[in-house]
Amino acid sequence: MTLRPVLFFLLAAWQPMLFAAGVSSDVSRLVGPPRGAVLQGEALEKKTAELARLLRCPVCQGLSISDSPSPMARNMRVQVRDLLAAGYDQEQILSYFESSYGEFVRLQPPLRGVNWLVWLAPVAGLGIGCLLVAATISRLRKRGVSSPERDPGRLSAEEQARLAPYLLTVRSLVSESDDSPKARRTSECSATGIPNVAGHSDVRQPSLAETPTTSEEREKRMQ
Amino acid sequence: MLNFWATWCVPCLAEHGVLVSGAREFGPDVHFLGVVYEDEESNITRFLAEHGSAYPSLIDESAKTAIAYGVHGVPETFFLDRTGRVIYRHVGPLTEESLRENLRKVMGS
Repeated sequence: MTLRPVLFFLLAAWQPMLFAAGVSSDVSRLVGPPRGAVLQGEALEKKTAELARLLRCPVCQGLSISDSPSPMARNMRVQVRDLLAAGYDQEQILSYFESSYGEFVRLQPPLRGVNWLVWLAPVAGLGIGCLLVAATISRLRKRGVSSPERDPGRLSAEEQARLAPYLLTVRSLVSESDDSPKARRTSECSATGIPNVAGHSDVRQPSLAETPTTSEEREKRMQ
Repeated sequence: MLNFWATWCVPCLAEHGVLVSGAREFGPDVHFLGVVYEDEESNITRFLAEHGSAYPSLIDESAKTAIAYGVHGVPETFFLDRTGRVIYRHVGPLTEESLRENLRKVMGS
């Protein structure tokens, strides 16, 4: 059967009959009677703005109803204001919206259950990070490994010990080759087992002729 | 059955035909009710005159009812039992099949 003319009613007139209770009494049923001060004027506007920053706009995730320009956010702000004017306190109002949209609607999750993790995890993470850094520094100090800020010109004891034979070789070669300046330009020093330093004018290099060719000769020279 | 809709909502137009024929079929056993979200009365009257109607539609002033039900967008439909308890919530447009299936769930509960 077709209903004509079209049945069309205003919700304001029908709401009490259709929903057994209006929205206001619906709020009381969910969160109890108003237990805050009845706000008005500037205090009402200030508290409305404060609460609007704590509620997430359900149609534009990530934005509070204070920041969102959507009609849904505007309607929610109006309702927050109405509820504050009716004397509901902050927690009652947040709980009312939570009963409709779930905990998701709160931008600051309340401290209960697994939510504690949200608040504690950053502090715990920072603490663990500090401990790791301290442990690493302590381990490096024990090993004697220098930090990056160390003077790059200074060698560790281990490095000095490793380089000592080369240093002796170079010194002895330098003192012997003082009489043959022509030999300084050669780049055949790789045959001696010391690093090739050709091109460094301040480092003298031995000639092939005076380079010891066997390990015995090298040792003799070093002595 | 409580259906949130709007004349500016394109999927609501296709769903409207499904709901009108559903209301005629299930008649007195199920109360169909539309709640119009974010819309003008003149647009709604024109829409219903053009596309037909078989049940009342109500204007949701300041979206208070939509907020109370936790509606995210339109269309969204709630199936309630005789005591007003929400048995099932359907997000998005209903098809003939999904309407029948949900009504069977509610009427069987």
